[in-house]
Amino acid sequence: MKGLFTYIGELAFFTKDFLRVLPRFYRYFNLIIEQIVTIGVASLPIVLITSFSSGSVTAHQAMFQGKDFIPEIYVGMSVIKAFMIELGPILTALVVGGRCGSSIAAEIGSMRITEQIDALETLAIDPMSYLIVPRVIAATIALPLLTVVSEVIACVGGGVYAVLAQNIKLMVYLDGLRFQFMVHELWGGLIKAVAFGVIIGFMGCYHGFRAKGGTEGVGKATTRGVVDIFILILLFDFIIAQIVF
Amino acid sequence: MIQIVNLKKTFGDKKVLRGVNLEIMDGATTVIIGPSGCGKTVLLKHIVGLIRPDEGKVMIDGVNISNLYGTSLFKVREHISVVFQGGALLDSLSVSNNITLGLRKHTKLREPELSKIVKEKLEMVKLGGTEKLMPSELSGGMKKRVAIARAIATNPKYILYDEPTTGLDPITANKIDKLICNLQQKLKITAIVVTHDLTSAYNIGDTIAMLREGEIIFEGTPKEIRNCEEQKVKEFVRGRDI
Repeated sequence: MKGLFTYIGELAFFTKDFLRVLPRFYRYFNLIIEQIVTIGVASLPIVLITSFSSGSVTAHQAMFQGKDFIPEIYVGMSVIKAFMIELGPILTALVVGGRCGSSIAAEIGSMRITEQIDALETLAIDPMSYLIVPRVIAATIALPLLTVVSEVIACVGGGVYAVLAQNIKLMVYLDGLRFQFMVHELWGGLIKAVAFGVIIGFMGCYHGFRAKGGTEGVGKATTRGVVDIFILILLFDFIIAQIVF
Repeated sequence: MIQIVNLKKTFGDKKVLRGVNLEIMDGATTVIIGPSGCGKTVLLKHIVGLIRPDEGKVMIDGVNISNLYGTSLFKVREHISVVFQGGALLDSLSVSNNITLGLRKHTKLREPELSKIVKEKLEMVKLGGTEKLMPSELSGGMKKRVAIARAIATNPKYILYDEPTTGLDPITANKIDKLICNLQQKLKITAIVVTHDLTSAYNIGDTIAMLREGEIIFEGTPKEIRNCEEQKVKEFVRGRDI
């Protein structure tokens, strides 16, 4: 119990320090761009693979579950709704959280134990401004962009499966994508993606920043970071779904 | 001048500093020696405000930095540089960008001027031509020399060296000692060196202070410490129980 309160307290102080320097984010604009490339572009291949295969599987399940009694137009609708509302944001967040959340925690943790963060402080450079803010902002921007890419690719994957494997006409599938399309569902999914981006960047940085005890400490920080990221993503997925939909 | 007054620090149950008092004179090199784990690095980190004391204070040019936070602390740190044990170069930046890190933040110098400073400082530490290398491409000794170049790039008033020769072979260690002495003579920077390497301490120190069991138990010149009859000092200097 004491550990939980210590954790909450430390997280609160970290958040306070983060919010103190956040308004001056523009000072390290080039670092934000660099991090968007690191988090966003570098995560594209894994997001593309995951989304394409999940889109195909969603189309297959829609066909399988509704075979003989649901019109084929519902296949496209099932894919796009599933990905806009739920699968797009959460799959992207879990994939990027595992890949980049761990990488952020390990990188910052290594910098902590090799005194690079101390070196920044002695150079009168605030590590919170230089290291943490650019990563959190970059993750917050990259996640919605990757989510949109994921949703598009999932629709492509679903379409390829529906047309090639199930002989559904392309126009029927495309009509399904447009059928009962609701803009607020798109925005709802993107709001989730923004929240997940904050969680990935912030929790990865937090655990790395608090790393101690040599290389073992970096390993522990990375593991704790990824676990916390996954738990918070699932928790906020539920909370935002309750509020938005 | 740096004054350390009755500095106390405890981590958990372990009392690391039990009331350290020390004055660092301007323009001189003060070496703080002591056995491994006696709190030398903790003391050094107090001097630059990376660790806050439980009691006591560190005065830098009359300012108590133990009470400073944020921008006020950063203002004082602009006059202090630290050379960390492993160099602490930022892995993601080239040698050149590591050296100019502080300058880019605190000055409005343009690229040609920054390049000139990098070249000049690298020449001073005898590493000319390494501007574009990454820290992973450097040896341990080279990393320490780049860290020294980064430390002097901002023209600080004080340089703090944390175990500058630890982990280096005797020849490279001697080169680093000579470099510290040369820089002190050329730039007249006040240096504080924390080490357990006595050869290094004798080579570079104007004053040697010995930290043991959380207190400064000796302060004097290299000659004085060699002739000191205090048992705990003799034990350390001669490297055996007496």
